[in-house]
Amino acid sequence: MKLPWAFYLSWKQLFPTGRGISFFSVLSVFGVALGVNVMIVVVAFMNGFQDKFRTDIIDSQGHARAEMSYGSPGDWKDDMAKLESQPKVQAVAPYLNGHLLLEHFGNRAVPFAMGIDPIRGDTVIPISQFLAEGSPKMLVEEASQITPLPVVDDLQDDVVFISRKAADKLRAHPAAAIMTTDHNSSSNRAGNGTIVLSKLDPFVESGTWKVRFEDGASYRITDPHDEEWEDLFFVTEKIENLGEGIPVFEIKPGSNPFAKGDLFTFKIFGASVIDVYSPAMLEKARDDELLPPRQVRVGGIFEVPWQGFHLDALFGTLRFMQEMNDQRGVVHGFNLKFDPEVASDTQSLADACMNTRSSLGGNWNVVPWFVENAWFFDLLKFEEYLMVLIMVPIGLVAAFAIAIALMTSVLRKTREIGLLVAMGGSRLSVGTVFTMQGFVIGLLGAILGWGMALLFICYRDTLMSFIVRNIAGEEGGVGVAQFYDFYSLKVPYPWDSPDSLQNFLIFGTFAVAVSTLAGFLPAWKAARLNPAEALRSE
Amino acid sequence: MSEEPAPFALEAKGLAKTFPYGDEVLEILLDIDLSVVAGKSVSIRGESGCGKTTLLNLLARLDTADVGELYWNGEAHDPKLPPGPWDAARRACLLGVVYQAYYLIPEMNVLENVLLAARLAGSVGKDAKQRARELLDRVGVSNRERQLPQKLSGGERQRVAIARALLNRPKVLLADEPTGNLDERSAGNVMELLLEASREEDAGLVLVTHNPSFAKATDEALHLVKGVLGSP
Repeated sequence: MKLPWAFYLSWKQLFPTGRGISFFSVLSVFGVALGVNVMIVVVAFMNGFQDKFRTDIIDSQGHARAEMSYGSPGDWKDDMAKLESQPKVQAVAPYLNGHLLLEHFGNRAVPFAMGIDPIRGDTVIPISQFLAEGSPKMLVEEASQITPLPVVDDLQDDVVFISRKAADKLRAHPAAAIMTTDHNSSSNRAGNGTIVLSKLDPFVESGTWKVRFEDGASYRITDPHDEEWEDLFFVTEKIENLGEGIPVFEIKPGSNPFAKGDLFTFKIFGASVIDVYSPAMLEKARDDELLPPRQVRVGGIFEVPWQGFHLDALFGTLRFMQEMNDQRGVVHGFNLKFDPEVASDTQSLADACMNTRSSLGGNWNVVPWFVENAWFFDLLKFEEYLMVLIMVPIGLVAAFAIAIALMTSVLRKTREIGLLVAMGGSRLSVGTVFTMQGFVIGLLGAILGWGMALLFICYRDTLMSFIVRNIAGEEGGVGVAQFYDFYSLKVPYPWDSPDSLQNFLIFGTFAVAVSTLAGFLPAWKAARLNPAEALRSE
Repeated sequence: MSEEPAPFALEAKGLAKTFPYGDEVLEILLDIDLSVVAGKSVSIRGESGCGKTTLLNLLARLDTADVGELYWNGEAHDPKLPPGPWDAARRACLLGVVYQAYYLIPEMNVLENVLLAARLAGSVGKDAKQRARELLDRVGVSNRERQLPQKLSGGERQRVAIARALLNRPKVLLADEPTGNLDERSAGNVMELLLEASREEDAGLVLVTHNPSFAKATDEALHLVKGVLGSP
């Protein structure tokens, strides 16, 4: 292909024969690449954070909240039926919120309490995902922690889930268990399998529980009071529920089956029982009606990933909250979940919320998640724009460096420029030589920058760990990781997400445009040189 | 009825050039008439600063004249106007230039430097490459075609510059003190090469030189004194 001579010469000046690439080209291309890389990575990470927070917020409060501007719904079940009949609404969960005072052995907490329907609530807010390991730390030799995670079904009228912070304040915990080794029996145990605790409800009694095998498949369970082996249960098949307060075990057979007399011993710690006071009790007290605190068990501890969620929090049943607030048959509103197609786009969700509001009529408000948390996302956006504002001048600095280097090149090559004109080159072509150099540097820098950004995205965990560890130190790094949770950050590749592709294209184009512009001034100077004077220059 | 231009490789009529110098006007060139026949050579001698290089620049249209007429191979070019893209393209085809300082592009090897002339004329191809190799062979540097200019001696560089000037089969060769940076032996060789090339390529040669013996070797020796070009 016959390359126009100006393109050919600009290429040769960047990539001279025999040298491969000039030092100026290496520095310029690398400078542009770094700028492109940084801009893409910053925006990609900010988008990753936004996606993560978006997911966390939706998980912790649903897609929208339907609430009355004042008062409470008269017949909330009718309203709930109306909401459920909306074509775009996927799930509806009523709630009643308030504050409660909790006390446990003199320790107090005043969490934000949410009364929910455990079954419906879980369809909108995945409480089961938030339930965490809640067993107290026990250092017992020759024992293993075997507490199963609590389940949403454990939430009953006399059972509550409390947040990790509230649990720490109250020094309360859900039921927990350890398996201790019985030396006498283990030496005689024929089977080499094990047995695990698959269910431990909040009503289980503290003490030593034992499981004794009758043969490979059946066993007997004794409770803490059954000292004479008056067996509480004789289990012959896999079972999921033995009734309230009875732990459920699951056999994990080994190569040798269990035999009669094989014994397992468990130490079980019952769930903490906490006293609950409500503001409604104060109202009653004014009327000289003193009510004792309500006692509830801690069914589980939860951790909501969205840091904006109440740290001191409690989940109870709707009826529990209605009773505590003396608001029987009342709800405050509904958490809503919409079809994924609607929820994926903020405008669609806003429209769906408006339609839902219209269908309810009256003084209902249906507020989507992004309106309720607008302050936070505005802050994130502001941070993103600020970062870009900082990054763009860095890109411009690279452009200035290119302009200066090319300008120096024009001065250094003044006589060559004169010769090119003398040999028949037009001024436009002479200018093109330098403009093309800026363009090629920008293009190669953008491509290299894309490559670096892809590598950064690919190895982000390793790089972030290294950076955080070296800047924040080991302890600080743990704090950063807990808050930002960058390990679970989703930063999409350009082929996975149109937004990511757009970022790559925008910043790549920006680099090419700025570099080309950087070549314009030297090009203009070169084109304006008087060839006769250029040939005379020293 | 206007008179037809003479069939010269290069012809200049009544060229004049002045430069402002403070409140005064310096008259550098006065009513210059010059004609060069294809295959013939003309030398121009004169004291330093007398306007020899300025005259060459006017002939190549690298500078504008105050008055005068200019013809390249019979084509009329207005020397009073800055050249446009068409003039630049014609210059690439019709003129070859050789300078004292060679002006080879340091980022390109010898062959690429010679081929640059063809690229500027938009005629690079297999034929141009073959001719470039023939010319390098003729000027005696064919074994250095892959070398960078920095690796060559002064004489070799000037030979490459001559090959480059000849590549597009120009009608006129303009040489501005081409031996100025060379030792006596190299200068003699280069001069011989230029004159021979001019004859063989049927190109008119305008040679600016200080060397009387080189001037004597040309077909016509002229002297520039106080802006006037004439026989010595």
